[in-house]
Amino acid sequence: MTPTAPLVIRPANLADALAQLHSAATDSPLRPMAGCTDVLVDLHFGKPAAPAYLDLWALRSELGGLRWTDAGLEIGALCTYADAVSNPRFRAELPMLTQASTLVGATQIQFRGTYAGNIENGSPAADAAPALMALDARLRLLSQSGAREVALSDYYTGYRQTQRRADEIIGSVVVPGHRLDCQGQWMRKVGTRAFQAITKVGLCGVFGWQQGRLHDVRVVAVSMAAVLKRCPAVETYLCGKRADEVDAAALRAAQAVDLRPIDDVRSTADYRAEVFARLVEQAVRETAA
Amino acid sequence: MHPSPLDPSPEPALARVRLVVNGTGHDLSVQPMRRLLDVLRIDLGLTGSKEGCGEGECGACTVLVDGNPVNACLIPVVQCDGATIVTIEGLAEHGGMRAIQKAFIRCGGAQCGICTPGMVVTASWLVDSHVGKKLPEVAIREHLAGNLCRCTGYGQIVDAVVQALDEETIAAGGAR
Ligand SMILES: Cc1cc2nc3c(=O)[nH]c(=O)nc-3n(C[C@H](O)[C@H](O)[C@H](O)COP(=O)(O)OP(=O)(O)OC[C@H]3O[C@@H](n4cnc5c(N)ncnc54)[C@H](O)[C@@H]3O)c2cc1C
Ligand code: FES
Ligand code: FES
Repeated sequence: MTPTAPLVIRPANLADALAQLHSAATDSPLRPMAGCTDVLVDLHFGKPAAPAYLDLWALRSELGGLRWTDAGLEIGALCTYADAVSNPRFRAELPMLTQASTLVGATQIQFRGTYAGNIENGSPAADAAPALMALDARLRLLSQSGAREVALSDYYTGYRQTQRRADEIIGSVVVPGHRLDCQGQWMRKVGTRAFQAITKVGLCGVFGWQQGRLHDVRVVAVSMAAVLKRCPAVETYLCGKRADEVDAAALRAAQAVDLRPIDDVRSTADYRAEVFARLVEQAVRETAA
Repeated sequence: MHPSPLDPSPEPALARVRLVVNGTGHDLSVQPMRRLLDVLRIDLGLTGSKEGCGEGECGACTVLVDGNPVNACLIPVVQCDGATIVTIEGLAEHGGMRAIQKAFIRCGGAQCGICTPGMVVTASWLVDSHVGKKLPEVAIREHLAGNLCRCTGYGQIVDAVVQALDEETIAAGGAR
């Protein structure tokens, strides 16, 4: 099946891309396209094409790659999973994000898919976006009028809805310095197959310990709600506890404050709730050891 | 490719795209969102790459773009402007089969054949990018997870990769 013929704008550089976005923003916003591993699947399944796309792929030299700065690690919008995991420093400092990256689809998808595309696509079952959320990542949104930063945990406003304005693109994703090489990075994806599988239930988190007690906790729930979700009640419950103080019933009660799991084709709500609680317990056990 | 003379509506916004496919340059004027797979199969007549699913799951359409294995069904051709592409038709060197192709035949890595073009292209990349390095079976299976095969059970395909990697490593002067 061949998608119908929408217009594709091919910007000469980033400044040109932002100018084109700006002038189209009010009447007929341009849809950015990066690796197109979501964009073309949508077209294949008959979703209506955007009237016009803005091709960012050719801007890899300006918007690609990894950059370590005073603020932390800046992942360019056009950086693919394969680009990132080929970097030894990335693998050493961000083991959870590395694991998440190698779980996105399979080899062919990892050579094309980008972190920014994964975030903007907004799937609650995504792999890289929740890992970044657990690492306190921030987005740098670029427009002709300048740059602004938004915490990824505040970015989603509803199912596949984000705070991005029509004249903006994600320019980069920043993992703050305190999360580089931080202890207790942990994730697990529960799916039907080891690779090339969509998450039924997942957890990405940080479980930092000090003198036998959890003191730095981030818990992000995957495929449990309409959006990727941090779990503040679970985090507060766990903070300050020793591993043997984590009580099954109390943990589940805290989890119920954060999450009312969805029932869908991939799983029931009951299954999701129980598996998620067990993932939290597993993370505590394994990071304590 | 020229628009068909039977088609009364001229294309609204064709893009000029230059591709080098299996060593031959092509200057095309195409719909920019046309899939690379359709350009290869329909416009250029290279029907070796297959369409199994059209959604990035099966890998039957795998080709190398600038040396990397990617799904041709998920790439708008406009994003290949200036790219070097190798399809299954272009894998053999100087008219002779590569070690990985011979290993597929020797090991029985193909049965019905529908997955084979994409599988061999991914496997060739896997071998080329690991010459002289260790590649455990689990890593081979992981790297081939984006190429589905309903016939072989994968064992023969993994064998073919192991054998071809050994041969290429020895040919490159490395120890096995
Ligand atoms: C077979 C298959 C398996 C997959 N498996 C997984 C999986 O296991 N886990 C997972 O998380 N995902 C999976 N995906 C989804 C997809 O590969 C990822 O979400 C990928 O990271 C998307 O990146 P992309 O560059 O291809 O995005 P694109 O398809 O180019 O874009 C996706 C969305 O983001 C927008 N966008 C892209 N870049 C920007 C930017 N810089 N600024 C603003 N908006 C932007 C686009 O407009 C679009 O709405 C899979 C896809 C396929 C086809
Ligand atoms: S046809 Fe492209 S991955 Fe199946
Ligand atoms: S040989 Fe038939 S699908 Fe692989």
